[in-house]
Amino acid sequence: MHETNHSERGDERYLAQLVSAQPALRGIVHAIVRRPSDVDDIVQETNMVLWRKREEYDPERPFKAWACRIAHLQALAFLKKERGKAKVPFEDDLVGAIADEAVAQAEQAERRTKALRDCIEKLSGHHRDLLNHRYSRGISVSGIAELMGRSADAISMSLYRIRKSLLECIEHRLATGENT
Amino acid sequence: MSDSDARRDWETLLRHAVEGSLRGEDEERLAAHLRRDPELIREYVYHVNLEAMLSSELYVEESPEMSALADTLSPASATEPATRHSKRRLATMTTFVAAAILLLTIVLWSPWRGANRQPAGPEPSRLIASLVDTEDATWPDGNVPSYGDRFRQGETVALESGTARLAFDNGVAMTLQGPCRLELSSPRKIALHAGNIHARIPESADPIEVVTPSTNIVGNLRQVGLVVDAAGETDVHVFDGVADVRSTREPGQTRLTAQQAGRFPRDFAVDARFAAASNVFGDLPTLEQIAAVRKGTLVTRPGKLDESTDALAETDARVAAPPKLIADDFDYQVGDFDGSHGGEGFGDHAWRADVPFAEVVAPGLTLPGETAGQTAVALHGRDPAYPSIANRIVRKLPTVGDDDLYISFLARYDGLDRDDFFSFWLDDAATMDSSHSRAPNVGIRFGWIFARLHHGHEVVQERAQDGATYWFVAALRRSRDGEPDRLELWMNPRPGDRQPADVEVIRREDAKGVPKSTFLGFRMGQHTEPHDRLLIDRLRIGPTFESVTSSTDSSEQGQPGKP
Repeated sequence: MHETNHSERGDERYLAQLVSAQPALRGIVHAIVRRPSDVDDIVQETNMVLWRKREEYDPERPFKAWACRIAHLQALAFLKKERGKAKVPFEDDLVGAIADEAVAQAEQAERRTKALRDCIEKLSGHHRDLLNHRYSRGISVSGIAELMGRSADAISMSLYRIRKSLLECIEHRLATGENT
Repeated sequence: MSDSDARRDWETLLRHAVEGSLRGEDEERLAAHLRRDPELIREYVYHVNLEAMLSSELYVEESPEMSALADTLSPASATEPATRHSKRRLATMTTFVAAAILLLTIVLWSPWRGANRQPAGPEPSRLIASLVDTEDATWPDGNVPSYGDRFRQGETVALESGTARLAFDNGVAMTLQGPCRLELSSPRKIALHAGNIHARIPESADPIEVVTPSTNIVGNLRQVGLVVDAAGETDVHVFDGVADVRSTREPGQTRLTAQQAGRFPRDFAVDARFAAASNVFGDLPTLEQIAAVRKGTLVTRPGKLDESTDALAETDARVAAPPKLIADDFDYQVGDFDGSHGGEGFGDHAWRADVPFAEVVAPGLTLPGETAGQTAVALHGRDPAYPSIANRIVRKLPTVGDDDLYISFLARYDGLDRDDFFSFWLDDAATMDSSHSRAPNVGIRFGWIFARLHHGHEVVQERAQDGATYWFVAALRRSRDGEPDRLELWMNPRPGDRQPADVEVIRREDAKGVPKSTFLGFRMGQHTEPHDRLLIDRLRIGPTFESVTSSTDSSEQGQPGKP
């Protein structure tokens, strides 16, 4: 175990890393489990495990990758319990492949996040409104549909297209080095 | 499946997986796609990660308490540039993590996911409000939340009928009247899809925004009532503060100030302005309730009623055959009432009561020409310190079969005013959270004698007098198929002389079934006062009108007693 000085300042630094890893943790858990309520619970449990394990963390290692591995284990433990109750189509090898990909992407998280901010700015007003309804206000897809007098499927499709264009924009910015 | 069909299928599954709306059978297909093509794993993780990034980047944290906590925990050495945007995101995520860590020691909620609480998508789901009180509330599919249950950000509260009161952690008080669908988007933003809400926003809370099918309402709202009808038309009543009402579709804004109201159709042409009317809305949660929720000390009850009723339900087998007459004259030792088990025909089942609010008092009530009862049971009005308790007494009934059921009791309400309520009920539930609104009730409501089979379909008989002793005789009648479908009520009848009922309530065809008569009880209403007193005496339950109205002396009953 790496020797660290776990002063209050050390805890603060650890917490800062834990905070910045939240989207990556949520991403990996969501990719494995998908049901939102389960994702919430597993991410919360992962945070607690990570907090308890703060003395085991080696600062020489990338924090996000380490945290994502623990989230992966938490999600696996959840799936193991679920398999006792019902069929879970994602076998461990598939979950492992997803986790590997998620860890790899987590290492780019800072750059991707910066790119995302710029890409959001480039969206049309209507698309930004849709994103705000969904992510700022936290309104469900069906709730947005009701508000806008459209079908839930139409809203879902619009959001999907916006996300897809954001991903393309992010990839473009990373490829051309616009965010570096 | 062609390549283009496979791609279309994949994108549909990906879309639903990201939104958290994938159905069980689709999981298999999603897994099959991912196994087939490793590139899809990358695409899948990109999309899921983007969803998480959007949630953290765009999500706005509002609670002042949690923001303060975030400020406390935010490290000064954070590597992010100190822009407003990144500070907000950092505070948000710090709060999120801090809340998770706090969960180590604090049990904040019990996951209850009935149909009346629809979980939202994968947005952050902080707990933001508590259910503090209900009146005659009915919920979809009979899922009954408990007082103190916590609501998550993003949840939709669906109330079928009656009233439910919520207290938000940021001090906002809100009352819903059913039918109502309210989405709790965040502590500062709510979406009212249908129904009626009344809200008070304290000055200490951040401004609140309300979204309805036709409007966005912002401004310095302090107390506001909103009604959204089936057509999506919104009535806005401002009691305090200022509301700027904007269209969700067209430019334009209408300002309403205190005591003003306006009607806003979906096309947004304001077609009416009128005076705000408080009688359209339910009473707000009390300040005591709000304070208790904010401190995390919401006390739901000091008694022990709900722990005991489930155990009671399991002991039914001890009563071998339905008794011909079930009776209690409440001739118990003056003092505590909880646990009293005298009377006739109840088997081993004792009375359970909200301990501080029910007691045995002397003298009892009496009918003209009969020997006065020695004692009666007295229920007190509701105590503001325990606003969520519908002060009540309850007792398990032995199996009473499928015949008509006649009920008789004496009641006197001291301190009666126009908004007081008490009722006798028969129900299959006896927990503290039940308002027995789907069950047969008789009693006094808003100062009138009433009977009902379902909430919202009361039939009144006459205005009740303060301090008068009333003899209630009711019959729960069954149709040929054995289902209860009619409730009759006689007030102060002549003993043994059956006349046509004073009140007859017929079950509506579209109403849900009447629950089994597993428990009986009495309860007080929300607006009763602590000094109010309801006396109950001479309770009879039997198979005929005569069996419950014939003169009987208390000495004919079994020995009264207390454990």
